[in-house]
Amino acid sequence: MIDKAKEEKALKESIENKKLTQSSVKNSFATGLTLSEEDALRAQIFGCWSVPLGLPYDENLLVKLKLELKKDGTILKSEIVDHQRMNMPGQKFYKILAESALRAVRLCQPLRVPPTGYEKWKNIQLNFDPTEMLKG
Amino acid sequence: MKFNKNLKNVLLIIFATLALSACSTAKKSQTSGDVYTGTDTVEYLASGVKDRVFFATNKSSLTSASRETLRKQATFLRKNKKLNVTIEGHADERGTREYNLALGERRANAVKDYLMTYGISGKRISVISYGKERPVNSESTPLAWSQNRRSVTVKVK
Amino acid sequence: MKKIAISFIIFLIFNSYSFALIKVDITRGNLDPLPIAVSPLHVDDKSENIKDLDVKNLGASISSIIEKNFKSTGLFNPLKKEAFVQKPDIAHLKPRFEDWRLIKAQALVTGKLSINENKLKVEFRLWDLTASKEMIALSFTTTPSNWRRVAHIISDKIYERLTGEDGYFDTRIIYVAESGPKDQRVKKLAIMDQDGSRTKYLTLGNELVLTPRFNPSNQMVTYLSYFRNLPRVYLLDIETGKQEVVGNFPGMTFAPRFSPDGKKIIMSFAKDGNSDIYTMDLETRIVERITDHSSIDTSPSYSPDGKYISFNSDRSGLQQIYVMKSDGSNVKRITFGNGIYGTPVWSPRGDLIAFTKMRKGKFYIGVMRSDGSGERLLTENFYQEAPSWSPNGRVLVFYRETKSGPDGKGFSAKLWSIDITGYNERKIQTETDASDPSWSSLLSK
Repeated sequence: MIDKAKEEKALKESIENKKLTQSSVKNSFATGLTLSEEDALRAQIFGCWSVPLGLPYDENLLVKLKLELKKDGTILKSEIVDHQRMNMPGQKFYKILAESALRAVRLCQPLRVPPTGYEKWKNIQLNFDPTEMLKG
Repeated sequence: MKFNKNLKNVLLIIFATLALSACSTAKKSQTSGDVYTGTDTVEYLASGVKDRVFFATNKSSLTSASRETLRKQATFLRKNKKLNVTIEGHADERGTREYNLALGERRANAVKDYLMTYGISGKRISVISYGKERPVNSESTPLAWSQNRRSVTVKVK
Repeated sequence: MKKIAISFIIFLIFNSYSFALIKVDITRGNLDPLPIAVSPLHVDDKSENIKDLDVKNLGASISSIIEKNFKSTGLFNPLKKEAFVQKPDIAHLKPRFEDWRLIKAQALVTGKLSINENKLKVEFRLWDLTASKEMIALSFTTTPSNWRRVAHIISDKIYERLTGEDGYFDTRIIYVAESGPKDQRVKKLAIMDQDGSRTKYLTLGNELVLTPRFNPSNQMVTYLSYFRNLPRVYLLDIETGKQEVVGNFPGMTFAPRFSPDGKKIIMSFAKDGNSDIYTMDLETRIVERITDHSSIDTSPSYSPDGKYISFNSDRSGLQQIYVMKSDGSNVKRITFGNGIYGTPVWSPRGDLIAFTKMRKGKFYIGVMRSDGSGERLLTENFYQEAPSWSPNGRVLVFYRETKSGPDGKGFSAKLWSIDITGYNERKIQTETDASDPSWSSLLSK
């Protein structure tokens, strides 16, 4: 039973990972934000996110952060998707990255959200990937 | 006719350049294949017996000039049977410290070996390497470096 | 069959769910060092006075050492104290997060100290200002004279919490202190804290000394001394000052280093002009020959697990870097780039080798993987060499010499450090000219 649960989790993760690689290709049709809306949000967070400069550049670290937003763009709830990993041994760098992502959205709020379509962007996921930045 | 005149000019320029460069090498260059050939830093064990030989970068092989110097040193040592010598091996500052210590050692031993082939007992010769630690010319120039790549035969008192 | 069914169901659930969820990839951010406020530690009014110690200002002294450490990493930006918005003792109890956020700080260090019955008690807290919560809180009790080390240990704890890596502040550097003209340099062994403070000289300068290296417990140093004009590898006990020659070699021994377990010294021995690599077991005194080649084999360095040795050799003509098993078998050349390579040093993490490269009249410090791939040159200069790793494998210290004019005018030798990213190059302040640095491991580990 336990094994099965693990299996399911792994499957779910592998699917999610696949989705993630597609998401950059996918455009606003699926996300419910127009490209310019998405760009505005992205640009805002770029400014708030202090990338932890000490992270190893050759490890593929990625943190997924789920947010529930109020209409004015302030954060109602924030959750690291794989938050168990933060306290696992050997995952110090993941934890550091996750904390930096949390700091970024808190610094940024209220987030620059569109004036309409609240139901569409009420729940939003930000994927923080420092790989390119750290490679310099 | 015109062509000839031009050719003449060209030739003249070539000759002039050759003369100039010959002149400058005669005055300035004291190295051959980056081995120092001058005498500015050289001291003498006895009249006509130079105390040191010079090496090319990263090399410990003896040039024919070096061998001539060392044959004179051997003759001098055969005449002064009670005299012992230390051969100091040195390197220039353009290498890592540890490698230079090994290189100085190799240079000093190249000299020792050559003296031994001319009948000087190994017991009379000790070697020491100083690597890049004791330059004779402290300037950072190719000429100084060539003067520092050396083995010096020193009388033991 | 079951598997496929499950995956299909999950896919359906997941797909319908994700259709509603907006996902945005954040791949860029700001690369400025993290703004951090280090509040001076509050000094308890009832603290005892200690001779030669400015107890009243001790809190400020400790916080300024922490700030200096952070600044030197290039990863943090300690903010100016003038802008601080709360008194140290109150901030330490519970900061007014929103006020500290106003000065753009993202993290805050607070603390307090007291001295009673000749014991220094220091406690500190690290606060995440955006999350409005404490990240760590620790306290130490020690003798008051240890206050500098306390500052370094606090720095290490905070560094570890904010970067995920071990720190490197509670460490020392041993090096060769230089003075006098270039052709007659006086050289002494010197030891100092990593930040350049508390310099102590271990030899008097009567004889030439070179290339000191710590043992793993930082109690012993092995180095080359020209005592009585016989260049030999020596062993020095830092506490007692006791020195001894290593082994009984009939010629020059040099380029010494300890094995990772501290039991052996590996070095070169020059016999009849030919340098090969040897080890000597410090307990049994057994000497083993590791390489046997007519070329110069030197600058040996063990891998951290002790299974391999890297060294440089000119067996192919010019100096290149080689790796072999620790018994001397399986010698493999790992550098094939344009240029001459020397001084390989294995990183404490084991994945990288730092080296000196010489090419077209320039000297470079670089790193590469231990199979020779992935070469990265970090810094170029007229002359620099002899990299040594910080214990966390993130920073290299090395020495650099300037080009000199006639009679050695303008010559200087200084210690420098650089991150393995190639950023954050810094000169390390030393009382005199300096060369041949060797970084200790963490003292408090």
